[in-house]
Amino acid sequence: MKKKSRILLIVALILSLTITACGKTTNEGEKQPEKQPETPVEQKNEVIEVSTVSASDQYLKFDEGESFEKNSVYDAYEKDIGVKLTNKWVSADDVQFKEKVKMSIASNDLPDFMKVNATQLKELTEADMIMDITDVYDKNATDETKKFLSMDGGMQLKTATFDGKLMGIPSSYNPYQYQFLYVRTDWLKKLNLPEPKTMADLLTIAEAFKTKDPGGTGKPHGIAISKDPFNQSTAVTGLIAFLNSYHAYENLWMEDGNGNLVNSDIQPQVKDALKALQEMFKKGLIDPEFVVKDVEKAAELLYNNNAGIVYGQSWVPAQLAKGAVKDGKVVQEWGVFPIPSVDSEPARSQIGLGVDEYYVISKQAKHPEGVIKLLNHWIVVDNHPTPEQKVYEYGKDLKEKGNNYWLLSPLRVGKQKDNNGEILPRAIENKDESILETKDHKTRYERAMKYVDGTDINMWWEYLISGPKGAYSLVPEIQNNKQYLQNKFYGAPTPTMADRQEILKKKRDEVYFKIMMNQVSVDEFDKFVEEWKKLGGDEMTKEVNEWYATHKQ
Amino acid sequence: MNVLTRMWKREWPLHLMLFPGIVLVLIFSYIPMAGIMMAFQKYVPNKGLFGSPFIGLKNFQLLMDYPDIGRIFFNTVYIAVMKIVAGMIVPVTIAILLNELRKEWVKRTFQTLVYLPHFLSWVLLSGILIDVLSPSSGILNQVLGLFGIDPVFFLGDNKWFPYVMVISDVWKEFGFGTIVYLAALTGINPSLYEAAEIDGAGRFKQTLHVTLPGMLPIIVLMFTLSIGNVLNAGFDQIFNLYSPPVYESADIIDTFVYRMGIEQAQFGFATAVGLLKSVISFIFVSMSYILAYRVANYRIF
Repeated sequence: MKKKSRILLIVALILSLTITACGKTTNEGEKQPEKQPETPVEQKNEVIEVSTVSASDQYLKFDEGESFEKNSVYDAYEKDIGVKLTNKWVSADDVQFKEKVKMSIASNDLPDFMKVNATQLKELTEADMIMDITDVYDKNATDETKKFLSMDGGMQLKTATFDGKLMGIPSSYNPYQYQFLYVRTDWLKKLNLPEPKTMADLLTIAEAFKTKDPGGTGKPHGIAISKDPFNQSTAVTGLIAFLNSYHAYENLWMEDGNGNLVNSDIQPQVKDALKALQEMFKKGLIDPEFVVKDVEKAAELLYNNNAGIVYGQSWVPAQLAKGAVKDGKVVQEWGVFPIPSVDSEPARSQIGLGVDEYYVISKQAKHPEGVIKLLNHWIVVDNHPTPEQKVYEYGKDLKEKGNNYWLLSPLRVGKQKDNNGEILPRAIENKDESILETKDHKTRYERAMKYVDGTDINMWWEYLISGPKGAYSLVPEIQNNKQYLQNKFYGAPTPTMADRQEILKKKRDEVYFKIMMNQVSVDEFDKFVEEWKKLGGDEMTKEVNEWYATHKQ
Repeated sequence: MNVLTRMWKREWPLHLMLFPGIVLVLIFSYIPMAGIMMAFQKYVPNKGLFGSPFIGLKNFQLLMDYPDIGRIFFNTVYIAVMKIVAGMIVPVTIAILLNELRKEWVKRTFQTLVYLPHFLSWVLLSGILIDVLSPSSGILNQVLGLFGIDPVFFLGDNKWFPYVMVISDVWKEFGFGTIVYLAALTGINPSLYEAAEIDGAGRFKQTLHVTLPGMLPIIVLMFTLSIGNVLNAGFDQIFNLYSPPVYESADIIDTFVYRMGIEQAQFGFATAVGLLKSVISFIFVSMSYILAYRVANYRIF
């Protein structure tokens, strides 16, 4: 009797182990009966199911009871165009999103559609994991969509085309995104300093901010920098605009004057810029701890009056607002300036192609047309929404409350051109609503006006972006004088690039950082140039020029 | 025959209980070994292991072409060896000291407290470390300042970085080792101490001649096991704390593989490095096993 029960116990233990190990299979088996009652409903509305992957965002605030599984935006898509969205996974933030995308690719576990970068687009195309969407796009995209995505002359679509096959939808945006210089103007007044017109002015200002400590913190620095300043995705607290001031550029292919392309990372102008940074570092204008500070941490220097200079894109004021507006009062005054130049030649802002990410459709997707429907619909609701379609922006109560519901739309493309710079500053200055054209204009105008008439001082940031002296007001001049430099290489990464880019980049960052932090002499740059060429840089340049020969306009 | 049948009758439940374990090892340790093939392929995820083209030793070639590869191997071994040695000395010392404590509750409290950091992840700890070690506001540098020492940027200085890694890792993990060694201490026959006392040995002599020899088998065992880690310098720790200026002293094989393999999606290359690592580790483990057998006459298998 006793023995029997012991055997029983052992068998039970082993069984339970085996069952837990096979837990997943059991679940899948259960799923099927669960689905059956839904089928008739699906057929009635002809709802198709499309899966994707998403990233949470610190700016996305869900309404009560809503989540990525169920929210008013997904419901609206299902109701309006019959596409039911599901998420294969949701990452905690954008950084993790990118990691998880890599994992999805590595494990060959793609959702129906997802956002990938240019390297991944090429890799997925070569691996034959994604669909050739030439026909699907042609058949299902509306005329409006087609026009919308080729406003730039079709350049962005071309970057997603391999051997005449369209492999992805460019996650387009306006390529004319310039970087600006933001300076504490109240400090300029306090110290009786002129506005920064030249690089020399800027260095004087930075030094004064350090030595005279206008913020009274006891720990002043000149400029706020975060740990990845030479990365184009560092849109605030970066240093790319600083390089641009010295006519140096970050990893950009530019003409050398003889009709060939050269990489900007190894040009002598970079050395000048690094030398200047080293000087600044020696004087204590740069916080030495920047190497371990992410953007938010570096921005604390700005919030807490430790630093009064920062480079960044037009939306930087939204970041600055955290420190500048306190309890409904503006406590820090900021001004935005075009990036100054080191010499008499105006600085040129480096810009990309306006596309570095693509939406790709998995080869396994059952309803690729659903993805194009999402695209069509996004363009409609983002550009000329009816009052009910405001749900895509604000959620079910259709009111702006800063929840950023637009982040929930899984497929978003932006305009390749805008005229915010011509319209908004004028409209806001004259309080003239009649000249506003796009939805973006109207939203921004409304926000800026709230600041102007004092109903919501927190909207200070919009005024510094769109107002008469805002970042946008500087755009027309840059645009008209062509003070920008666009990457001349827009093809898929070349073979050597795919192999060596990462090695070269790390090498570069190491050398740049060490020079900047005064750990090695600035002449180390020359050694780096030699090494860069040897480590595949020359090979890469050759390949890029072969490409350029066939694509020159 | 008869004996065998009887044995089988008695022991079959034991064999049955062993079965799930063997299956797990097969599925998770042996079958994935086929993935070693990737090291010789240009691996393409959806073509899979058997469809991807073979490219011979090109992945290894690429690795050897990389100019910093020597430095990366050196950093790995340097940091790992220091971690192994320090990770041995500190817990043994603490365990002996704890053993001398008379009040049981003090001993237990201390044991629990030092064990706690073991459960924290490096993602979390790195944030804390960055704050603690900050040259401008970190508590450590403020204390050093009281003695008139200029602030040191521990995480941005190649001279300091490897030691910060070793010290912080030992701090995080020594609680775990301590528990193992404490267990070894309880196994020592008390009559040996009595005998030593009669022979006139003091506390220190007792430790030297009774406690330490008594712990030796466990120390050798732990050492043998940790030798296999000589090429694991701690990816998650270093990855969360390093930055371009300290690549020189901080870049280890794992961080390198991560950047090359995962970020650039060169799976074949990453596997090649992984394979190389396994081969070297295997050599080290074999060596330490032989040494343990020859020197301490200790065998695991």
